[in-house]
Parts: sequence; C-alpha cells; structure tokens
Amino acid sequence: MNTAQTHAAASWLALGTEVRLVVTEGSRLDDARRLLQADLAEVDAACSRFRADAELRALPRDGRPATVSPLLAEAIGVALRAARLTDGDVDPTIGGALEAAGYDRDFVTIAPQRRAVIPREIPGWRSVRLDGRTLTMPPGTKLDLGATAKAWAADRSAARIADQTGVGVLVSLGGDIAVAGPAPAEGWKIRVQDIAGHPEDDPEGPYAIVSIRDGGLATSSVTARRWRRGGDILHHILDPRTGLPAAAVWRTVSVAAGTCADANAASTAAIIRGVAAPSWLAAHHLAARLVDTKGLVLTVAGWPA
Amino acid sequence: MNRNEIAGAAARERGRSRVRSLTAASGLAGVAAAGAVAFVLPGATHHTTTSNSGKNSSSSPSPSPSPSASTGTNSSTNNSSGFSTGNSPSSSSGSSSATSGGSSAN
Repeated sequence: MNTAQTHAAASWLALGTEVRLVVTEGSRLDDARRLLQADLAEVDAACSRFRADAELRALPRDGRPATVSPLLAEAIGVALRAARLTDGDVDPTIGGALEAAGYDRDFVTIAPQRRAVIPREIPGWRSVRLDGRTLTMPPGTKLDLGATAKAWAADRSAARIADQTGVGVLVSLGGDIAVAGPAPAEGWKIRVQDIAGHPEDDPEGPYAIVSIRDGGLATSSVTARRWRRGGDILHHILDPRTGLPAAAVWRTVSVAAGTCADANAASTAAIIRGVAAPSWLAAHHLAARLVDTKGLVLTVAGWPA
Repeated sequence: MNRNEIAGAAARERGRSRVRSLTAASGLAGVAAAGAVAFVLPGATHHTTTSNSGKNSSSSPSPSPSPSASTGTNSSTNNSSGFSTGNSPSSSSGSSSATSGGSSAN
C-alpha cells in the first residue's frame, strides 16, 4: 500500500503557535487530533509562562521547596537536561531576563517600548534542584520552559498517538517536529526554512527539503519572534551569560536528533554559540544545517548538502 | 592619570559597553562578517549557497572537514555527550508534510 495516498493532516493553534498533525492513515486523524489536543491542554496548564492559572506561575518565589505535578516535573527535568547537555546555553532560569527584555506576555500582544533593556542576572540552572517532584529554586527565580516544552510535548504526543492508534504520526509545534510509528515509504518530508509556516505556502528565504524516518527535527531562528525595545530590535533567544539576545551569527539553525527535545536544545545552543557552533555540532554527531546572516548555508555531520 | 583623563576613560568604556550591548541586541546587520568566517571552521562537511528556489547553486567539500563528522547512521542512540542521535535526514523533494522554522507567533 502506498501510505502517501492516505496521509491526512490537520492544523490549529495552541501553545501560542501553530500545531500541525499528520498521520499515515486518514481514518485515524480524528482520534489522533483528540489525543493531541488533550495533551497540549495539559502541557499549557502546567508550563505556560503567560496563563495566570498555570502551575508554573504558582511556584513559590521565596526559595521554599515545592511539590510539582508529575507533568511539570517531567517538563522541568527535560529543561534541566537540555541545560546540562548544552553546558548552560539553554537555561530555564532566564524567565526573569526574558521579562526584563519585554517578552512578558503572549508574543502577539508585545508592544514596542522606549526603555532600553537592562540585563538581569540569571540565577543559573545549576541552582535549581529537582528531586523527584520536589523543586527548589533560589528566591526570585522565574523559570521559562519555552525553549524546551514544545519540543518535549511533540515527542511525548507523537509517541502516545503512535502507540494508541498504531499508525505513523508527525507532530509539529511551531516547527519543532517529532515523528513516531511506521514512517511513510519515502520518509517524512520536511521543509526547513527561517520561520515555520504552512507547507502549502511558498517560503521566504533559503530553504531545503529533507526526509526523516524517526526522532525529531527542530529549527531555531533569530528571524522569528522579534520586537522593538529602546530603539533596538530584540529576538527571543537569550544568551544566559549576558541576559541579552544572542549575537546573530546564524539566522537559522536546524538540527536532527533522536528526539525533538534534543534537536531543539542543540539548535538553540548553536544560535547562542555562534561561530563555534559547527564544530560543536559535529563533535556531538548532530546533523545540522546552519544559515548565516547573509543566507549562506553550511551543513555538518551528515545533513545532506 | 588626572581627573579629566579618568572621566574620559570611563566615558570611553561606557561607550564600548553600549556598543557591545547593541551588537548583541540589534540582530543581523552588525555581525554579518562573522558568518563568513564560519565556513572554514572544523566540523563543516559542505558549504553551499542556496537560492530562494531551495536549490543549491554551488556545493563543494569544505577545505577542513572534521574527522569526527559522523554519517549519523545510528538510530536513536545516545552519543558520548548524552545527546540522542537518530538517522541523519536525507535529501528530498516535492511536497512536504510539514515545515520546520523558527516558531511563528499566532
């Protein structure tokens, strides 16, 4: 059977971005969508930095230990793992610095501000302790799981949907992509580009089409989620060492890995590492495509040229 | 160093700090040259220029390919640094199922 003939897809908005779900059997799309919608609602309620009723927002700010839900514990564990793997490039304790930079609400509602950014000291991921479900942070620490939660959610839901429906599935959350179950004969075709969009729409800027059969693929870009502050144009990828947006050596980095969470951690770290990123990615055997600020493309560690 | 010289040095340092902050914050233009430097760094396996059509207009081996560059044929294993690695992506064409890019805001 040619599975390409029975693909079915759905798109909607959740977690402040676009969700895309593709299954290899159209008859299972409705079931898959229900599972994914339920999963994302749980993740949003636990991890959102912007929802007043989110569990993340209710964490104590005075240094007291807190018992968190199993789901939030898992999400924080993924974030701390990303911090460890990237030597702190991807640090979940940048929540306060992001707020100081102006990213303190749902992105579409951010208005330009005249005040310049005053970098805020970042507590650092090593100061966070997660022992089972008991979380302890320095006073005043605000976590931001935005760098890792969508990718982890894509991994989690793709695996669950494939397990419960028995079909191949692709989950994309704002361009963080996880696949699970039996892949189509030609693999999952993915177009990498500066900013995620509908596959039917023509992309802006350089792009490439690749195929994956397992794991995940993620792209980080300084061309997405930009805003004005004090006469400067800021983007959302902060360098934890400065508390400021990372210097733009690469405008876009895409990485393929065994999970979307790891791909996302690596692509974000590559943006922050700048000129050191290609050798770092190669040393970790992470297939990657890097686009510099002029649009020139560099591929490493097995990414097709 | 007299008081005026000290004040002048402090002003110059403040100016440099401001320039550093703006370089970090203002995005693409100021550091464009750094991207070109990266094309001869170890670890690169190929460098290409890509047009908006998505086709490579040139492709050639890097002058300094990394000896550690992997073909990435392991399927979902953890490498020595802890990252999980899957099969490397393969080149493809035609209609795609999804796009991967920076997260758009909606």
